Formats: sequence, structure tokens, C-alpha cells
Amino acid sequence: MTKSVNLSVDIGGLKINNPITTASGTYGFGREYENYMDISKLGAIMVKGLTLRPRKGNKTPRVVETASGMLNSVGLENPGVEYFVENELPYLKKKGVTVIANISGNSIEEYCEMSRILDKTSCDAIEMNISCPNVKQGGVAFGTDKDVVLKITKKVRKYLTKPLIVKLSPNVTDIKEIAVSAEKGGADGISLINTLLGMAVDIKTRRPILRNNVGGLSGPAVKPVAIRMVWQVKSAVNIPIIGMGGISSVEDIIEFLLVGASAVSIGTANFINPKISLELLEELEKYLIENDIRDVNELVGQIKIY
Amino acid sequence: MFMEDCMVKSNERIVDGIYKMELINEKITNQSKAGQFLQIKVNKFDTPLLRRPISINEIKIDESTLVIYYKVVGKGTKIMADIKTGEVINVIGPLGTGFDIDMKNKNIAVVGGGIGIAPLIELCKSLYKDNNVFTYLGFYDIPYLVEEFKKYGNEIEISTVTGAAGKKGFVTGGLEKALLDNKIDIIYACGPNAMLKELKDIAGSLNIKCQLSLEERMACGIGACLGCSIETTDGEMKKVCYDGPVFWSNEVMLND
Ligand SMILES: Cc1cc2nc3c(=O)[nH]c(=O)nc-3n(C[C@H](O)[C@H](O)[C@H](O)COP(=O)(O)OP(=O)(O)OC[C@H]3O[C@@H](n4cnc5c(N)ncnc54)[C@H](O)[C@@H]3O)c2cc1C
Ligand SMILES: Cc1cc2nc3c(=O)[nH]c(=O)nc-3n(C[C@H](O)[C@H](O)[C@H](O)COP(=O)(O)O)c2cc1C
Ligand code: FES
Repeated sequence: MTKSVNLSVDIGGLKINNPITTASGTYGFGREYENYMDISKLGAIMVKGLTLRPRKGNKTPRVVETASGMLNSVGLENPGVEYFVENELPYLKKKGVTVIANISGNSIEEYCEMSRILDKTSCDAIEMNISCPNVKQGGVAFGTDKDVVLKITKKVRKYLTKPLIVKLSPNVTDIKEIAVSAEKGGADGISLINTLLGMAVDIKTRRPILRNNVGGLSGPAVKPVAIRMVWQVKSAVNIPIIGMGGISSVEDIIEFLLVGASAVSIGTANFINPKISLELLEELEKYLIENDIRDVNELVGQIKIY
Repeated sequence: MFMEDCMVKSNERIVDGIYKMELINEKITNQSKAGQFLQIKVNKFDTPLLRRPISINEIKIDESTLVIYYKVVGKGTKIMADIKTGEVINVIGPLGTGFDIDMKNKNIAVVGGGIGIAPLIELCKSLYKDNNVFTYLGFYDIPYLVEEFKKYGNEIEISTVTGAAGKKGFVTGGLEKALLDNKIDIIYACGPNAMLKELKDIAGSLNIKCQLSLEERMACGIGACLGCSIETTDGEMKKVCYDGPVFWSNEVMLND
């Protein structure tokens, strides 16, 4: 007798077959992983961060390993939203992939324009990355000011009939107030965390290792921060959460679900094991069966706080 | 390309700080060609987190064996040096595009500096039967792999920075004359960035075609993270792990 469990989840109207997704910027446009796994089995793919125009990104070195993690300063290299819509999206949809388009902008207008373009396509949802510098306001990241987050979410919302997920930056003092602004602005879901700003120095040359001087920290090292933030956000909003940051085992996934994530995203771990996302999906199913849990949603937010 | 467990057939010190490892895996070996590389997980833990890119030194199809040469420079390669025969390590490969080895009746210069000589063995092996291969190798102090190179080429010239063997100085010293004397049609090179830069200039001024194998810090090695992306001379972005590591010298800028 094989027991069956429900793995499907609903992220603010985006129904996905299972809670395992792959994080933006770590999974290319999906194709890169096809040698290693069947990408259509994922809950969803968050594609590489898109901008309105193509971007070349920063100079190398763009990546450096740190203790149980890595810093990156790729600088949003991407072929632009139009290229994505014409050349990458049709391929992914043909494969049966649920596609979440991740967007980044330098102004509110850019976010709106990208949303307008993407809303007419076959992509399944939009993930708005608000960790980008707001050029008009001195380059401070959109995601660090609750009023700006409210304003940008409201405006972008107007251009979208598809689910809108707002991706939060962890580089803030109070993650709850940012999440509340996103919810008030009309977000259907929240994803977190993006990378933590960091730096590494070559003591021989006395120079930063990254050509961009600073970069975003990801990998197992950031997981405790991500878990804490998902937990805090869960207590502040009623919309579903996609949790990410350092996931590399099924235990990590359960931790995220317990503190309130309805789905998770695998990032840096894909670089070390390109088929880890599907391995974790199998392990999650096995965990649920072994623990007599019929529906993965039963775990969400079930942490027993002291 | 495959992600496979490989059995370590041997792992030995060659000279100070330089090691040779043989890995057994049929799938990866059968697909490999000169200039491609492997992404090696040096242990099963989170530290070090990322895989380490190491070039394929020699492909032994009959024995389903790949040979690599590596220099111990940090955490990852130090752990590699302690791996024992019979242990199993996880490898992704073969990665990258490799050298263009579709050559016949050419005078070929193969130029290597330091541990950058490693991928040039398989290159020479693929070229020496149908072409004249002139090999120029630069070392800091004690040369290694020289006997292997002798098997797969017409002439070999050694230089060392310390003067321990061969000509004293860099491999690029006096190279222009040698390239002209031997009527070189194409140059292949791998080594430190400074050496590649000089070769790019030499190849440009002598108008000789030249392929360079580049190094960049990598996270994935499979074209997904864009950690290794460089701008080419025509303004395109290319991934060293996927579109390279081998590029034509006039394609790349080689900034430091
Ligand atoms: C395509 C390619 C082929 C290579 N082939 C060989 C080879 O055949 N033999 C050999 O000895 N070395 C080779 N290297 C260099 C080798 O990858 C590094 O020496 C090695 O990763 C250092 O790891 P570590 O942990 O010992 O050093 P650490 O300095 O502790 O490494 C820290 C991080 O920096 C990266 N890193 C450090 N130095 C380099 C470098 N020179 N290039 C790229 N990444 C680096 C590491 O991968 C790691 O992510 C190659 C590099 C590339 C990109
Ligand atoms: C190389 C790299 C590139 C990334 N690019 C993007 C991006 O374009 N847009 C985005 O929203 N997040 C990007 N991220 C952040 C990840 O999506 C994820 O939020 C973060 O890495 C934490 O998860 P992890 O620890 O599992 O990697 C990137 C991360 C890495 C490592
Ligand atoms: S190392 Fe990830 S794209 Fe080249």
C-alpha cells in the first residue's frame, strides 16, 4: 500500500504542484540544469533577475567562497525582459515549467513597465526584487524604506493580473514593517531572503576579492538569519511566504515550513549539486509519509514558540 | 556532462606543492576532450562549500581514467592532497568547450606557465600525430611533467624563473623569435594572466592565431550563476565555464 500525500501549495493564487522552487539568479533560465534533472518536476522556477534593458553586470571576480557560504556581485547580468519573453519563456512553458519572472529596476517606472510587458505573457507570476538601488533616490535600495515599498507595490500591482510576490532584502532593521508595506500595497505573497551584504579581503594585495568591493552573501551561513526573518514576517502578515536562504537538506526545508513558509526556494545549493532540488523533493515526500503527515500545508507555521 | 562519483586510483606528490591524481569514471572519461575541466567536490561537507575547477590533464579511454595535476594553494586543494587511493569523490564533467584540435599539417606552438601546463598534455597528445608541435614551458623553480611532454612533441624548451633548469626567466622571453623561426601557424596557451596577456600581444603583432585557456573564480561551473562572465572584444558577455575556458586571443580583453 503506497500512501499518498498532498504536496501542492497555493501562493496567493499561484498554485504549484509542490513547494520546491529554485531561487532567482541561481538557476539561470532553467536550461542550464536540464543535463542533470527534469526541470518540469519543480514547483516553480524563479528565473534570473530581469531588467528592462539588457545588462552586462559587474567585472570579475564576481564570486568568492566564504565560511559555509559565498559572496556574489554578478550585478544583474541578463539579456533584458524582451529577450526573455521571446527566447526563454516559450521554451520553459513548452516544457511544462511553472515560471516566476524575477524583475529588478532602477526606478518605479521600470518596474511598472516590466510588469506591463510580463502580464501579457505566459509566465505564471512575478517576483519583484526590491533589493536594487533606487537611482532617483540616491541609490538606496527600494526594499529598505517601508514607505517606498508601499508605493512601489501599489503602483506595480496596477499593471498585474498575475500573482505578485515581493522579494524582501534582509539588509534592513525591521523586516516586519517592510513585509506589512508589501501586503498593504497588494502583494499576493512574499519571498525572502535575498542576499546579505558582505565583503571579503585579500590580505596579500590588501584589496577586496570582489571587483565590486562588496557582494551578497548566500549559502548555509545565512540560514539562521533567513529562518528568523521568515518567522518574524509570518507573525506580521497574512499572505503566503516563500522561504529561502541556505537550504541544502530536507531538514532545512522543514525548518522553513515550521516558521511559516508555504514554499521554499533552493539557491546556492544548486551550484554544488545541480539536481539537489529534485532530491529534496523526494526526501520531503518521504519525510511526510514517514511522519504520517498527509498534507505539506499542515506543517506551515507549526513552530511551538517559547 | 555528468555528475558522478569517481574512484581515486592514485594521488601522489610530484614536486613540492604539485600533485597528480587519477580518477576512474567511464562516463566522464568517454566524453572528455583536451582543454575541458572538472568541478570537483573535495569532500562531503559544507566546508569548503563550492566545487573546485581543475583541468583535465590526460584522458585514458582504455582505463576509463582521467588524470589531473593540481597545485596546493588553499583549503580545497589541501584537502585534495590528503585523499587516499580507493576513496570516492564527486565530480561534474567534462565542462567547457576545450581547445580547437581540428588541425592538420600545421606548425603548432604550445605555451604553458606554471600549473597552467596541466591541460596541455592532452592537447599535445591530440595534435602531435598530424602536426609539428613545439612546446614552451615556464616554471618557477623545479620543472615537472616534462618527460610526458617529450612523448608528444617535436621540440621542447624549458625556462625557469630561478634558473634551476633551462633558460632563466619567463617562458615568453625570446618567444617571438622562436615562433617566427619555426613558422608557427597557431599558438595554444594556458598559464598565469600576465603570461596570457603577453601572448595575446605577441600573437596579435605577429598575426598568428592563438587560443588561450582562461581562469576565473567560479561558483557553479555549468553556466548558471554568471560568476565567471567576461566581456569579449565585441561587447558580448561570455561564460568562461561554458563558452570557454578556451577563447581566441582576439576575442578577450584580459584586464587585470
Ligand atoms: C577552468 C579552470 C581550470 C583550472 N585548472 C587547474 C588545474 O588543472 N590545476 C590546478 O592546480 N589549478 C587549476 N585551476 C585553479 C584552481 O581552480 C584553484 O587553484 C583552486 O580552485 C583553488 O582552490 P583552494 O580551495 O585550494 O584555494 P582557495 O584560495 O582557498 O579557494 C577559495 C576560492 O577561490 C577559488 N579560486 C582560488 N584560486 C583560483 C584560481 N586560480 N582560479 C579559479 N578559482 C580560484 C576557489 O575555487 C575557491 O572557490 C583551474 C581554474 C579554472 C577556472
Ligand atoms: C549568484 C547569485 C545570483 C543571484 N541573483 C539574484 C537575482 O538576480 N535576483 C534575485 O532576486 N535574487 C538573486 N539572488 C539571491 C537568491 O535568489 C537567494 O535569495 C539567496 O541566494 C538566498 O538563498 P540561498 O542561500 O539558498 O542561495 C542571487 C544569488 C546568487 C548566489
Ligand atoms: S561559474 Fe557559474 S556561470 Fe560560470
